[in-house]
Amino acid sequence: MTAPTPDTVDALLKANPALWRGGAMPAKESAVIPTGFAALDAALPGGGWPKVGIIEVLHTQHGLGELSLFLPALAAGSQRGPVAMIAPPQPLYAPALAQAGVALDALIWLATETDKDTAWALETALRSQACQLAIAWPGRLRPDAVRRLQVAASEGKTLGVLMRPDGRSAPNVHLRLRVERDKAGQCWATIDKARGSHARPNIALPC
Amino acid sequence: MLTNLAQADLFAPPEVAKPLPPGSAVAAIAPPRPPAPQNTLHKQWLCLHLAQLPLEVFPHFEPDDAVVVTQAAGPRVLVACVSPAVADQGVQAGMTASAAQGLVPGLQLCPRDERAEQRRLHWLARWASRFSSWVSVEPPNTLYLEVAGSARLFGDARELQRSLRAGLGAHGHSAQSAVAHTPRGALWLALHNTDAHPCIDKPEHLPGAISALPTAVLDLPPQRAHRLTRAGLRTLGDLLRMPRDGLARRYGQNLLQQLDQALGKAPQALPAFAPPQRFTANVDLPLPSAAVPRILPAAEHGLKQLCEHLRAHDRAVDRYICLLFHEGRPATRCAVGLRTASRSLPRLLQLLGEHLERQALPAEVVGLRIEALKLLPLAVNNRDWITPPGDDDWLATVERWQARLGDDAVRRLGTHADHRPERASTVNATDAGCWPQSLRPLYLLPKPSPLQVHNNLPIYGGPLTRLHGPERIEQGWWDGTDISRDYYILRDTRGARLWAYQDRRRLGWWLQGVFA
Repeated sequence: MTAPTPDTVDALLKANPALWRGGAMPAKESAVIPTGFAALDAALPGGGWPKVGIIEVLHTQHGLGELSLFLPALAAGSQRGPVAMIAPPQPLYAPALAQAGVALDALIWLATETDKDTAWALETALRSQACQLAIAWPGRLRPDAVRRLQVAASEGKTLGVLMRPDGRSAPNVHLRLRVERDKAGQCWATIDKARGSHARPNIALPC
Repeated sequence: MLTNLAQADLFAPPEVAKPLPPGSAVAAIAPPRPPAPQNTLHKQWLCLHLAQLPLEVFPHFEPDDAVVVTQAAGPRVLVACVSPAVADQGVQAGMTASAAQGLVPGLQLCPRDERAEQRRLHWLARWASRFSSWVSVEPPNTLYLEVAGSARLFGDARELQRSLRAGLGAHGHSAQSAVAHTPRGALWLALHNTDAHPCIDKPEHLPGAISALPTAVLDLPPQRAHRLTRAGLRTLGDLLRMPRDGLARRYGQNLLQQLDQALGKAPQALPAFAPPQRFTANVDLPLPSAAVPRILPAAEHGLKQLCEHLRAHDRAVDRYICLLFHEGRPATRCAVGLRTASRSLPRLLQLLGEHLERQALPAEVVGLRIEALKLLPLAVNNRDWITPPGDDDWLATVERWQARLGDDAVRRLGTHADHRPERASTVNATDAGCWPQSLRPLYLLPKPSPLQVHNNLPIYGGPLTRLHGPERIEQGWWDGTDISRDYYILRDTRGARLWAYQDRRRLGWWLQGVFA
């Protein structure tokens, strides 16, 4: 067994917020969740998805990689506790989720019939104090509904992801991303808005 | 010959080894000789003997009334139970009614109502369940409570006995009671000591206390009891000094068995009282209303009774029904299901609230009924598939979803060991924990949709680019749904990645999934 080089130690420290150097200050509880994509981590304030808050993902159609973007976080969250996916546009396929490392027994898929139910279910999931990550396709949302979701996320100390395929966006979200794909099939994530950062980087993603 | 029996013989194990019934009084006793010292596994039985029950079931009975309860015995009418006021004037149970009337002019006779007695005894057993987890009913008028486990919660056994009798008094009952380490011992002490309510703390004191009791406490046919007295055997101590075989020959094996049971040397099976398996509470609304905020307080009142009932009997419900009554219309039925059994009022009430908000009420509600048809034991850890381990907040959230969105809307995914893509993913079934290694899409369409073909190539809003494939899947010949397909990962002009296949049997292209 070879000794780990400083590079791999750094990589480990970066990848896993539960690890810290023993000589350093007492580790603060990290305020972010690693995204699973190094380039994205580097571009996001704090180095990952915020642990608490609402992320909005704008995309022009389904199937651009918008969901794969959250698979590493979903997989990590499902190992820690329950996660929810609310009103996905098509039936979710278990083998793909399992391949990504999502613990299926921790995942609940809610099939709602109306946008109102979706917003309500997402709010209850966020408020539950147990949910690690909730991803929802809310359809139409009134601005005050987004505000309610934010309060729910900060009370429940959890992260909610809103998928907006219609390109609508709400003010006051913690983080807004735009997911696109160019002609060559490369997936790009643009950080439209991030609290604590003014940069608007454009990141190529392998999804 | 009468005195040469060694005391030690009394503690010899019973001749016939009997399997111990569950909850038997002597499960933990069976002492070798000499009697075991204080044993923490000892049970303690509190016996309540309600001698006045036949009188007390009459709603207007007062102890000062000159009244007796009568019972027909063939052609004669005999006195079965005597009120304290007339007992002093010489009226005794067993004499004929006419003789009693001769002694006390103006004596009131009430025919015995055994069904009311039984109902009352069961009601009291339910009531007594709050003092002990093991209550046993012995008709017509005796209750046994196992109190070793619960006495500490009330101070000690004496204190518990006092609370019990005070509670009985508040309900208009008087009881003779005693505490001992065997049920029969407790019964005999209670029968003999009408007022003292003895409490035997240590098992080694029990033989002494039993020896002092008169033979009248034995449950024997009258002639046999009379023969005992004629033989000069007046106390149980006299009997215990007799040789066992002689006693059995003259007075029956039954006498020995009763003595052994009282001393804890033979088992005595006592069936546990089972509380009724259903609960119903009716509540009227102060004003008819169709508004949920007006109905919920009434429902809360009914649910509160349900929760109290459940707590008293250490039960829980995983389903209950709320019937909403309307004037001149059939009632609206609202069934509330819980993921796991519970008796928490906020949880039951919140779920009902979710249901009522979704329920269309045809008219104003005048009253409601809460029904629980099945009361379950409350298991702390009865979780099921939908509950990730260790979180009650999540459980409550999942329940609210099920209540509002319906059971079908709350889904849990699983994998299934099948190569056919549409069968590899299951909903609300057990997870097989195995999946294919090759790339699979995150969305699978409910049904494959046919793709247009141009120059033998599929198109979907434009030409499609092949990214990966073919992956051939052929399976299912054994159940008639066999497939033979070549799967491809394709990219459409806007960049979305699709999962499509060419059917080798039907010669066409089909879109089945989307990578997202």
